[in-house]
Amino acid sequence: MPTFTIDNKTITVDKGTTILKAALENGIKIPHFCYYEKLSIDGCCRMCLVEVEKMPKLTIACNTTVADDMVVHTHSPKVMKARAGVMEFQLINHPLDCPICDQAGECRLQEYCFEYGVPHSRFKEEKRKKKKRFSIGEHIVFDEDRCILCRRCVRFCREISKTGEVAVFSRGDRSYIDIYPGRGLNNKYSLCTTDICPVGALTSKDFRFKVRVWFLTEIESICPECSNGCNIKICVRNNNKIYRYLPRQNDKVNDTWMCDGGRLSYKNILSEDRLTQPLVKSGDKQTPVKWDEALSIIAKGFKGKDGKPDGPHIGGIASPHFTNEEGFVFQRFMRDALETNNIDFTVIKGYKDDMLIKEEKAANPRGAKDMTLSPRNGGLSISEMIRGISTGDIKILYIIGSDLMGLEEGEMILDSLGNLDFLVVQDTHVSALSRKADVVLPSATFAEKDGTFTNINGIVQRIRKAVDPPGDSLPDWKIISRLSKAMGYVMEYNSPEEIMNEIAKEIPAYKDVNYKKIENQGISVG
Amino acid sequence: MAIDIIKVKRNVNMTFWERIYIPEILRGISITSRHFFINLVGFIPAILFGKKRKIFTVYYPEEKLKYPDAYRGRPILVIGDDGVEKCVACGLCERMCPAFCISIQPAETELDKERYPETFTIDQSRCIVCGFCEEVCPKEAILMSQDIEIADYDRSKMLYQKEDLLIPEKDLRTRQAYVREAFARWNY
Repeated sequence: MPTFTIDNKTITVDKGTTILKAALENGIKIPHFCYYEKLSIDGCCRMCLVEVEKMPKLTIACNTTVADDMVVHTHSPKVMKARAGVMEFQLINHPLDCPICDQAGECRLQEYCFEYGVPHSRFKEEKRKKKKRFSIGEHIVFDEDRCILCRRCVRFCREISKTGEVAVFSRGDRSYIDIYPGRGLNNKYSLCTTDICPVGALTSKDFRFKVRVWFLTEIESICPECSNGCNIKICVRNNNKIYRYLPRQNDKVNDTWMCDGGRLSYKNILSEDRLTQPLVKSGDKQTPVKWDEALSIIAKGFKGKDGKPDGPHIGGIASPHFTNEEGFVFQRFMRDALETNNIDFTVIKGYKDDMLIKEEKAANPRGAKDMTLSPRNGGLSISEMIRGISTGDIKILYIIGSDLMGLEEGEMILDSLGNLDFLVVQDTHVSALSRKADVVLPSATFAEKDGTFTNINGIVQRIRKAVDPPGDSLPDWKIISRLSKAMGYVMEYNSPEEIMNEIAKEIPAYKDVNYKKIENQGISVG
Repeated sequence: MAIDIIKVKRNVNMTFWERIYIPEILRGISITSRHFFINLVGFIPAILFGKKRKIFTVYYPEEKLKYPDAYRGRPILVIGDDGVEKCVACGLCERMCPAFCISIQPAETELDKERYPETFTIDQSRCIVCGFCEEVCPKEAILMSQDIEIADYDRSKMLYQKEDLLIPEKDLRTRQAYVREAFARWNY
């Protein structure tokens, strides 16, 4: 455990820690381009030069390990002069196209130039020209001119995605980053290179020129695409439109990476075929109605001839896209208000790899299991419920989400739904399932509500509301508690936080969970 | 406690003629009366004989003053010599605008400038003609014009789209020269 002094501050760090890491952990700023916490050390940008007493020359902080009694100065005149010099070299061949460049606003070069650079260029010669914007992969555009050769992207492809598509070719000031002929930068995590690129050389085709980054607000949330629960930031403009997701650091879950599929999944939320109003079937058509009307129709439909819920003949199919709170409210509604044990859920399975992408293509299958959304006490499972439709055991179905269609026998299920007396579908998007329903209830996506997800390894994490739900649609927990009220069984909740407090009381594994503790890194429920 | 009183000498040295008061009053009345009658009937010789009037009144919609180069009218966008707008939709004016009257939707183009404004809207009912957008623009693409006649009966007509804002560069040389000179000391 070496103890050393940095900017008159005495710090004790673990053995083998570099100066840069120790400084960043203790809130001392040292500018750097090529160093990235999750990648190996390259030491090629020379931006992190610091002065260490008794060393003859300045040394790079990113690759110098701390030793006992070291005295480091990070902002001495000598260091500042060296930094200005390095900045000048970086800018010699860098084109001055900040007004065009999409990185402007989150560009390291821009920030450091402002903080440490010199205001005037002394370079009178011709700048060297390289290739401007060309497609380097399915999702990425590359601008060779802007590249400062920090090689973060090269190291990322070599060490993290382990595909090694990009490399540095040629030597000296002619060297450039390129792909091997015939192979694009097309791995499943390729868009991470645009995050770690400190300049505007690698930019996302999807986000390019859509909006300036300084207009965006970042809201911390969780990616809903698979059960890994990668931590993300939702970038929103004017509180009403989502422009992109960015990964957020959480060493327990996703380090600082996320997959391209998850990153581009924000388009689902903006899609045109969102349900925006409750619909009621009249004849062949579904007509929009007000919430109260739709809920009273459902309440009537759920009740038998004697005015009581027709328990054993009702089935409830939950969604693995539920937050924990919604799952809890749903099972309480089914078990207590409708007096049935026929609750189940299903998950669409798909591609998986050994890095981040998990098999289950829904955010919260683990949470759904924890919230007891599977059949208990003799309740029917999904396949039994489907069989029950044709035999007359199940007459009423309350389906949430359209994951059912992902099953192999999806088509067959769709046909058998015609035999039901009453079908309620609650979903975010229009689907084949929702077209069959007697009543359709529009619900909000994960970006439009608060709550928690439990990822596949049992880490409970917060999602936060980023935008308003479109039209009249509401979060699922609100719909269910309103519906319950319409059925005459009152479940009053003002916020998901209240539901979580109740979950903590009732489900043993969640007894330590509350919103204050979760913060932005989540807590484990084992 | 004794108070120090400072006596201020009024530098008024009136002559005897001014001191007797009445003649000076009459002189003042005659000056105002003369101007009153010239204004009242002065237009008659101007109409009858086409004489230039002596009084300083600009008959506004027909006559206009030439404004100085520093004058700031409504902001406009510049079309470069190649026939394409100079704006690259960098968003600095949108960010800088204290009245939040500019909104830009950027898009990609095949031209060398890569970026162009797909829509560029200035809400003239909000614009306070401060000239910050002109000062911040890195491409000299937005300039303040001499046009001040922007009044309208309908608020929706105050939203100026890109087509309403574009003006060829050759008509804007004087303002361009002024801007270069004015901001030259910042050494852009």
